[in-house]
Amino acid sequence: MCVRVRVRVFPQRLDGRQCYDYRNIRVSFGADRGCCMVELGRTRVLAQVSCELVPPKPNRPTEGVLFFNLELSPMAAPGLEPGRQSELLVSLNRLLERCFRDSKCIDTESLCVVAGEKVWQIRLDMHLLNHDGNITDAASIAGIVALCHFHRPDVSVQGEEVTVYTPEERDPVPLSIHHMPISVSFAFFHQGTYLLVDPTEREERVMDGLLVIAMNKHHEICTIQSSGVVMLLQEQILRCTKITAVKVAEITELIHKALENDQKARKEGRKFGFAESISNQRITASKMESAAVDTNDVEEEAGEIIAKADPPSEVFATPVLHTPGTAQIGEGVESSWGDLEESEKEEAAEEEGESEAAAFECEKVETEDTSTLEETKTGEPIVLSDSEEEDVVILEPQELPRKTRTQTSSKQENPSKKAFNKRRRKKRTSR
Amino acid sequence: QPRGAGRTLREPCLWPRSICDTSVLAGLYGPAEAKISKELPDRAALEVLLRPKVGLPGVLERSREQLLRQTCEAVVLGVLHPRTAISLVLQVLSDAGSVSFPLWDGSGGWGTQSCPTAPSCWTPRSERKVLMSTTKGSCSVEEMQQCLAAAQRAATTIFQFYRDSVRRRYSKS
Repeated sequence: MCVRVRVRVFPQRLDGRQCYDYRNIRVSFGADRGCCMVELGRTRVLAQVSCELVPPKPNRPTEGVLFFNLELSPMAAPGLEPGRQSELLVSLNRLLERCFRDSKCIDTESLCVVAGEKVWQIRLDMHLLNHDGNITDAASIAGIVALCHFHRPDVSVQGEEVTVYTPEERDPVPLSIHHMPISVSFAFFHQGTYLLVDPTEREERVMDGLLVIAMNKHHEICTIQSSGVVMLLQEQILRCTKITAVKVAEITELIHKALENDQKARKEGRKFGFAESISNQRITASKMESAAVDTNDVEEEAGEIIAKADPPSEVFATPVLHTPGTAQIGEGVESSWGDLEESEKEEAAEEEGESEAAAFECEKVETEDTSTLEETKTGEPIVLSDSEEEDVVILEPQELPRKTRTQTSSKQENPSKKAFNKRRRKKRTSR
Repeated sequence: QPRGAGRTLREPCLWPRSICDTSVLAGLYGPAEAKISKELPDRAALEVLLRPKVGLPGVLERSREQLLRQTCEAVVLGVLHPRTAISLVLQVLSDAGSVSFPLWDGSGGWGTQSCPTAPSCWTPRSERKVLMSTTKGSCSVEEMQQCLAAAQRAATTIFQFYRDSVRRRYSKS
């Protein structure tokens, strides 16, 4: 007898989510303005906005400059190499640029200080800290939150004079942001039969195609991009945009709430920053109150150590001024390099001499030649010899006759000697 | 053995080390396969990467990386894993001065102390010997010794903190 039990398997994902579920999103702010970290499940992105006064681009003299950069640091995954523009990185950067810049979410005209002279450059740096899929969404959320959180210094223009105020003098002003584009990723499997929102890294590895839709809360599509090998039907895209609208509304609300909380904390003078948002939530986090270092008798201790130590040598160098800009400290010790080389060579020559007498003769001549030269070098200034003779040294008559050029002009002496030594050494090792 | 060395590859120890408003995130990977160009036949190649928050790593980051690498090499038992690579990635999360402290803290379990004056010195756990010291500007021998003595004293407090943290993390209860 055979009983067949048919189990209907609901498509459920590895982490227990349903198809259209997003992972948990957590937004935390740093101590600086314009710094935030977004955690999308275990994917983490850090964003930091900074600003600088720069001359504008010549074709747009009244518009501020925006600069976006996403970095995939090897901290996120060991496979990611630092400083390498991989295909993934380029495509992600391009997508984010389209999402932020081309959707005109930041009012660039308000960043102008003096037309054609000085504008603000807003730089958004994003760092991927942990890679668990869906970098696009995490980066887009982190980027827009950081931009909303950022305040630039206040500027006043009076005639020709431009004054940039410090935060103490005048409160910094926030950027004017028209809308908040947020991207939502959809992964397609089985030629579009299955659709998942917010794919994890494992799901991304096996997916057929990816559709990214960036939308703001007014249901306006800012960017749409489909990649991979999947043909999408019109209905599928429409369905995705509907899902996106719902998700974007939720995320925007969350962002507003997070920004509000941070604003409140800052106003009330409570502690804020990463250290504050992370500590005490897990057993792995531990905290220590600031403790003063007891430095009462440090001076005595240091004094003891110095008293016990050997006194420093009493040699004081008296610099000798030869000419303005050139000084000599101390006396040089005679170089021991030449001696070493000589003994080495002689040793080598002896070895050689056992087998080939002819080669030995040549060798002897050569060593004598160089040693005399070295003597002149260490002792007195080198006298330029004007003879341009060439010595031909045959090292081993059995082998191919090798030629060594030894020019006695002192400038070229050194390299040729070195080359000669090298050859000698090579020969010895080959035995 | 530094903390986190036994972790699997996909699980970097991701926890920020903070001191007041300065925090640094550290990730340690390895020992893993090394690139042929970086491989060392007798010990593990230690690679330290320090990422600034804004912009690309510059000369300051490079010099700090170098300091960290040289000191870490003296402490890590690299001989146990020849021909592998250990990479330590540090990301500055917020910089409110004396970044070196959490840097050291993040890079493992050894002691660190940076003085607000010119010199910064680091002392290791067990013998409280000075591992590394670096100065900027000039200081007299007395001042240097004073800083070292203060650093050694402060190290005890920090090691106690490490012990407490590790005990908390690995306690069964």
